[in-house]
Amino acid sequence: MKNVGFRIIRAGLLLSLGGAAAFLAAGWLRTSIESRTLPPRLVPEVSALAAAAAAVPTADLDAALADLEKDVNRLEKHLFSLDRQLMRRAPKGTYIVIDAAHNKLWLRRGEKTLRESICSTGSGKILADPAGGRSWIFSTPRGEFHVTNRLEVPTWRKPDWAFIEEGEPVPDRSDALERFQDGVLGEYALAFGDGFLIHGTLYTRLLGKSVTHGCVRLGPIDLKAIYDQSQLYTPIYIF
Amino acid sequence: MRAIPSRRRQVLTGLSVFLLLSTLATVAPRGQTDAEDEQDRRSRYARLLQRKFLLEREAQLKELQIHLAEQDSPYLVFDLEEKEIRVYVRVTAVQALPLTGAEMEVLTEAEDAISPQRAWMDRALDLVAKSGDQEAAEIIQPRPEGAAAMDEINPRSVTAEIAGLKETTYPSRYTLLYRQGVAVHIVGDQTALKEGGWVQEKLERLANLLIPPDLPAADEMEPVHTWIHLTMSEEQARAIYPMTFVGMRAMVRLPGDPVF
Repeated sequence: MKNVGFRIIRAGLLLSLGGAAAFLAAGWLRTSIESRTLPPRLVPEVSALAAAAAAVPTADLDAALADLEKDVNRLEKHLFSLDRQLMRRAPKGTYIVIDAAHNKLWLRRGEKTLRESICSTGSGKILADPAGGRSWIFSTPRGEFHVTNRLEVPTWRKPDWAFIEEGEPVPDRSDALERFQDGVLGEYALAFGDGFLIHGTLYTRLLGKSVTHGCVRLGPIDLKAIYDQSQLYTPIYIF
Repeated sequence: MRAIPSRRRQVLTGLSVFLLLSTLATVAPRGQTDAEDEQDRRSRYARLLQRKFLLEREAQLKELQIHLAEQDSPYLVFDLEEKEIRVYVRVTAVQALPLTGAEMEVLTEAEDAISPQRAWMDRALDLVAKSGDQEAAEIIQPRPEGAAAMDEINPRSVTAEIAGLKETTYPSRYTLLYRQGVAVHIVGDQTALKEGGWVQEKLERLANLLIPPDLPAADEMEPVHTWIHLTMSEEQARAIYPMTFVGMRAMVRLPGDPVF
């Protein structure tokens, strides 16, 4: 009987000690989480906010604290929802990113770069038609696009500016035979709207330079890799 | 006096320790004075307020990013905390350029600081006065009114669309001019400032920078306008400038902002 009594006392003692330790640990944890996430400058210092805290009447302090805790909980839930919304907007699957300023092209999936290539993009030069009021700016468009067509052994249909640039007469008909040229776009082409293509080039020594009429040129090995890993609607982001 | 049996002594000792600790556990927190307890609660209130402020800012940044990610175009993040300029597609950073140490001067409008455009204005007026150019002084003179109106701007909500790109001689070689009165000036060369040889053209450009053509009248402005000046090396300015394009949007992570 004595043993039982002693055991009860010992258990009570241990429970008291455990409870006290848990109470202290919870307090420390709560303080450390709050302190760790406080930004250094933009958020006012605690000392600056102390004035606001001091202004709360003592009688209202508990209620004010409860309200504040509710606000913080609500904001934490809101942030969780925003994180989910952001995740939904992340690029899906494989996508292509082109840095037209530095003539770089990346094939990416999520946060991962699958392939980095040197490309050539628009020169930014302006060509005016001496016969009329037309002019062209040879810039690669910037923004978000997607692959609208995939072509193997593409044929180039020369636009008017290609004839004007070479000082040749522009054919009247858009389907005139002299407009069609084989072998200049490489083995593959990915169209991304308004006649712009990612294609190959005969002038691989110019890769890395801004020399094109707006299309994006790649070397043959990179072109095949990008072609193989892309499909219709693969997103293309150009900046 | 009769000796207490050893077993009973053990029990009594245990009981005494238990009672002592129980008393301590219950009395210790109450051992504080009411004033100390209230002080603790007020400190907790201040800390919670700070936490709320941080969460609100984080939510604001994320909402801005969601808005930008929906624009179907790459956008820039001027990260003044990490000292980086990053290009994002949707919510993914695909390119980052560092803004290194002493080469970067950040002048953001802080609530307790003189607004940078006001400081600019003072500096410009000083130089104009020294140049003795009356016509130039007339051009620049009306500006403080607009600048003063922007003193109350809250710099914490900055998002903008690049409305135009300018190559200027003062105050920056490259300027991304934003709508809504937000401009990010990438200063690559400050020789014009050092020369002090003011010419009409420079002043006109300065005026354009201070008051962009499509900036609404001061009384119509919403409290989201600010001016942020990044001073960096010529090399960095050259690298960043071509990565921007008309219509490109941007957001700014200010020093002390949370990660988003």
